[in-house]
Amino acid sequence: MKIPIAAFILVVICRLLFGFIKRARARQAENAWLPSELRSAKLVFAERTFRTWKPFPLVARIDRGYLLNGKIVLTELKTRNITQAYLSDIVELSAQKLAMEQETNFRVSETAYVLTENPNTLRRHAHKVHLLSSASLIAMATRRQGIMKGEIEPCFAKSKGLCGQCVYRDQCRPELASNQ
Amino acid sequence: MANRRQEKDKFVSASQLAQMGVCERYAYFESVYGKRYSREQRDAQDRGNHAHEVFLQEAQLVNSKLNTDEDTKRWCFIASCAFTVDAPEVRTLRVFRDRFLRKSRIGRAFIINYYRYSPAVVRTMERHSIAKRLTRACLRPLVFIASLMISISG
Repeated sequence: MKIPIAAFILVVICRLLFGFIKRARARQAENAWLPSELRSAKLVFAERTFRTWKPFPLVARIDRGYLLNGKIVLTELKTRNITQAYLSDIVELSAQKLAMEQETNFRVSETAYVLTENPNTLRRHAHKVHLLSSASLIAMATRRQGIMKGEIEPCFAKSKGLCGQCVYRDQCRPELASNQ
Repeated sequence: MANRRQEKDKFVSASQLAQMGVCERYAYFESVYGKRYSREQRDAQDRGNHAHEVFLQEAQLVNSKLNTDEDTKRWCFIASCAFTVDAPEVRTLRVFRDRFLRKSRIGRAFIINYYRYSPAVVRTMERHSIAKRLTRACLRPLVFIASLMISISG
């Protein structure tokens, strides 16, 4: 009878130890890509959705939110081969900031991080970005609404390379589709 | 249901706004013709979803008391009624549901049936306080076992 109890206790101790090691390794792995500014910050939000009706109906899901000096610093994960942050990432993070501020009244930092992960090597790089103002975001949302209603003519992509692989190429640029 | 959909359609998502920064015409055609994906886009999406799952798991290892969407889903009807919505017992059962039950077919079947029948059980519990106390007494050993399994699994 004593042997099964001892074995059970041993298993429990081993699992607890395993859990401790797993957490320690996770922290260590985290420190490999975490910017020095965020090392002292507390991770408070992960995969959390925020909604607001004002200034316009907006829904945004944040990947991570760190609490640093009374402000939330947002982090967005992107899997891509190029270690670069794009304008679309900044717009997305700015929308997350607005939704979070409106729903929770938290103060959200003007700067955020875009974390690029290479899908082959799984290496991560953090890029610090400055977010757009609420006014710019409202203007963008108003423009989008105008485009959807057909009142404003939508612009083409700035990079022509994007058109080559676009699924709406036949409707948008038939001249490119016929060249294929 | 239709009202909920209409309300959902009114919201613009952060990623829809972000699309405006890539190509406005893409955003327009997506709304006109519906979402379309190339094989490469689907693969990239799958890779992205997987990376986000890993990213969340890592975050939960770093801080187990994180505020996630799972915390906002208050679906443990019976446990929430027997204790309170934010009671530590309910939180433990919620973690147990996500870490253990969701991973097996039997567990998922249990969750579906639990959500189907528990509102009726809750209505009975709300009428009879003795039923509430009895449920609480029955749940306590289960909560203990669940917390033990959670701590063992790390």
